[in-house]
Amino acid sequence: MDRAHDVIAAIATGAGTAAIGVVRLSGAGSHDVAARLCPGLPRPFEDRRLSRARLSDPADGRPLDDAMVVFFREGASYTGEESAELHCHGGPAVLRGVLDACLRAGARPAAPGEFTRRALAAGRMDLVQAEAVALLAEAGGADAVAFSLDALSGRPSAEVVALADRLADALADCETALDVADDAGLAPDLDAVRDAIADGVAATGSWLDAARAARPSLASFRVALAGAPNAGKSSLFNALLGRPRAIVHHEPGTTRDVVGEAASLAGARCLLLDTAGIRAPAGPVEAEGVARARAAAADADCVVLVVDGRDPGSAPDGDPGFRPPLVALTKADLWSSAPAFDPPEGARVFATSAVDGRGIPELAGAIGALASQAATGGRVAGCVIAGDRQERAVSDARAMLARAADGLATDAPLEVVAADLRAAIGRLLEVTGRAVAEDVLDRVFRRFCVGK
Amino acid sequence: MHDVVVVGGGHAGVEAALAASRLGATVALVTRSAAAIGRMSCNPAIGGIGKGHLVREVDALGGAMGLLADATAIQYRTLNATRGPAVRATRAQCDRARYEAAARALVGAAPGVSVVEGEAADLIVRDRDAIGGARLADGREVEARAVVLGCGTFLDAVLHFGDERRPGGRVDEPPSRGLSDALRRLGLQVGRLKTGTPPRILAESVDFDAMEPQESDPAAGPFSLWPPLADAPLPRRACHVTWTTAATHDVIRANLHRAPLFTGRILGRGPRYCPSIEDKVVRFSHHERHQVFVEPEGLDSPEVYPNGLSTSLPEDVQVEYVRTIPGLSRAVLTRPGYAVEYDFADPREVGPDLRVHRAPGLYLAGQVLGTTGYEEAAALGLLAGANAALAATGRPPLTVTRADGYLGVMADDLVTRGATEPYRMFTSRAEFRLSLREDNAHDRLCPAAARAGLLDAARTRAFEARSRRIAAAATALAAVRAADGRTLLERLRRPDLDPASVLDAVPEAAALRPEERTAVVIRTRYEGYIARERLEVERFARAEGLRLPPDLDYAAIPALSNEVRERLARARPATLGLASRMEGVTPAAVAALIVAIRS
Repeated sequence: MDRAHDVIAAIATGAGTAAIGVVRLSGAGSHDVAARLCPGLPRPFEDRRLSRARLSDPADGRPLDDAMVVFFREGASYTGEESAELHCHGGPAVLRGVLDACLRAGARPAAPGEFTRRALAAGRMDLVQAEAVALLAEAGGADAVAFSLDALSGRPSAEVVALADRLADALADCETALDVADDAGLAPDLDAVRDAIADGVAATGSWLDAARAARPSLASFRVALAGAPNAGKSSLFNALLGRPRAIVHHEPGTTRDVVGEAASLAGARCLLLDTAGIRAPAGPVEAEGVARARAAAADADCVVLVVDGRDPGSAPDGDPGFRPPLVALTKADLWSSAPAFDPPEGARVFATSAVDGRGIPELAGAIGALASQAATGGRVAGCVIAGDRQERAVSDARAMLARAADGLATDAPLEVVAADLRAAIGRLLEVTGRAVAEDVLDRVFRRFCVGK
Repeated sequence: MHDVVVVGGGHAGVEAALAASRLGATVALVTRSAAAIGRMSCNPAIGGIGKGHLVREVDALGGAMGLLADATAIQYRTLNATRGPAVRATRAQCDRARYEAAARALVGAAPGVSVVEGEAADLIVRDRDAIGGARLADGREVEARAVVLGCGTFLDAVLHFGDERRPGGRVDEPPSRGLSDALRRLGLQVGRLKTGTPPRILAESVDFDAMEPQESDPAAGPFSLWPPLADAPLPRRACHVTWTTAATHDVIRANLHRAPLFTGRILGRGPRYCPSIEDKVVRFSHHERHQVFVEPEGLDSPEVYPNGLSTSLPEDVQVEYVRTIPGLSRAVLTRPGYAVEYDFADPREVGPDLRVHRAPGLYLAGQVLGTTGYEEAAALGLLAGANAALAATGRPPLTVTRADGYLGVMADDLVTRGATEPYRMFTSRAEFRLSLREDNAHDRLCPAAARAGLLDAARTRAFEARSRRIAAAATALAAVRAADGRTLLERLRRPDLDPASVLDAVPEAAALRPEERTAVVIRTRYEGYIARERLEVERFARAEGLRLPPDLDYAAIPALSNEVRERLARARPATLGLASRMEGVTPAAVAALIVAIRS
């Protein structure tokens, strides 16, 4: 069976004990899978109506739970596919049992984010909305909830699309000037193009400002682990996450790109960034890794300087380009007496060990406290875009629009201005993954009397 | 048995026959009348924005159009002279009769090409729909290993003069019957398009003093890099600009009930960028006037061509509104304007080599493939003729990518998106526009043309010598420092300095020909922009190049409409880029495809 559309199942509610827990199924055939668990329920199932059902294991008839079930037909569900939800008594054992029975009845476990990815693929939502769903699931505060719901409503997407649409009209003006004006005796007016680009620069600038201001509230307090190669950054990263994510190796220079992962530290949502070791690089690939590490540290909201406690002299010399408020002296299980280390001004120092876990809760607590402090300063009202991917796309678009404005002001060739404008529209559309309604040439022909 | 049969002697057919001949193939050019070879059915001009680019590309591929236009030009202009170099374009007014004669002479002298006078009425179809030649209306058979159809607006064509309609492909020339059905029998989708032409006016009835003259630009042209066909250029002639008036629009509005375009008698889609005058008056009613460009038909032609007055209104209405235009108040019409409706084949039925997928040996080019314009026809004709000859002689096909030329953009647009109106070249259709310029057409295409056998040894040597001269000039300019410490090459980038003074400072650059000097300056000044475009293009290519598995189950991708699903399943595009440019494939559908191939 095709992996993109087979029946997937997952526990849709949080871990731990609760009054209710939901197992969700999606994909063509999910009604059949659910039916095997509730043989007593008469078919056809009523669409989007809760029914009471006794769930039992299809393999041996063993009772699983007394639950409420609801069925969604294709086209009327979150994913757009045929799907079902089993609302059970909360509790890990009950939910685990029901999920296992679903898997035995023909479903397979859903990959992380797979329900939303299917909704995206089915055109049920755009990328902004999909990212809002992810944010909503992680939302730590009321601000983040408000932002996610706003994004889910489609308002911010519409704002981005409206700007792209206006710029596409401006591009049509440019293309008319380039492709037909001299042939058809038209005198193109580029004032509207100039205005649209100026407004585009202003709008994208304010979106980016708002996105930066919202960062702390939107679970993206960025914590960079930085230090010399083999100082133990990746081990510390995994220890703070509570699971292995980064590749750890005694060979220095193992981490080359920045690895990022969302983490909950002392109750605060953070984006933890593991970076390449900072030293004089051995080759172009490592040089790029070091450059990225420095950039990640400079852009982070908090840097943890990671120093090998056995060899504190190995810490990067000179001005690293960032000011760490926290220092981890690692590998505390391998040394007994406190090493001679002169911490940067105002930094708090923690002795840590990824092997026996000492110092990890204290360091996590200190990071969490900084994140909570910062989160109170976040502002989400009026925020149009958020998150790394959206910020990057809009920031690219803004740079291209600024260059286009500059080009118009300095009489650069109009086709060069048009190239920047076209690329900027592309980046804006990447934000939502949606297109403007018409091809640029269609706009040209609709609005101008052209040709011979 | 010939290698290639070319049906049609227009701009597509001429280039197809000549390209096949250059590749050593034997060619039969089937045309109703040898006298009509190379005919300009519409205005007597070659080139223009996007189109001048195509003429340069045809020249780089060893084609004839640039040479023919240069030999018969009576005016050159550079369009977009105030814009950047990528969109600057050459246009020539040609002497119509001399152009046609020169085309006839080239075809007559081409090795291995014989002209067969007759009407092609059917295709010879062998096993598994392989095409074995053309069958003529009088029963003769012309057998060949490959067939190129370049029959313009003739397939089951109907002319409209007001209420009157008569079968015909051009005025006084009957339509071609039978070939549309032959295409349908092969399973091709055949559609209907429309185009039009203005009345012709007796030159001596025109008051040129009442119009604004537009003289030839001595700095513009030529198109061709190769030794010219003619010993000496023809004398230059002016064009004249005039405008319609409120009275013109009143006459047209009062007679719309007699315009077949508005009475529902014309069903084919016409080009939006080349509307008839009645269409302009109706759709852009807020415009007070429309430009009319009066073009000379030739040095000794009694007629002029009023570009901008294309129409299908009845002849008496044409006379009435033409006479409301300044300079034309006593105009005598020698021939009325008319509209023509004709059949075309869905271009999605052909591949990038212009071969019909389901009929090996059959190639299509020009209006029969949904395009409009001499230059579009010539470029596609060359590609189709070359590929027909290559296939007939067992050699691999020649294709041009979107990054290599407007010909590549056009072929890719047509074969992936189809045509809903006659397709005209526009520079905005190219995502690599800054790199696709008139000045570098030969750099882009000559190497591939030489490898394929389309350039003879003399032209290949001439091209290589030109490349060496340009490279030597750039090296020399980079080696000399001016008083400010910058190299001359760096000084060449400064828009405030006269490039001539910089170039003349080193002998290698001073000795360049005018066309080569332009190329050096543009290349140097444009370098930064092109580098930026290349980055965008690479970014685009990463997504573009994602492979779509040949067995991808489109029926199982939920975000696609049924129509798009069927189209994808039929075309089975090899990459995401090809899929994304197909008609109806929205960015949301592209996102769905990405998800489908990554999951």
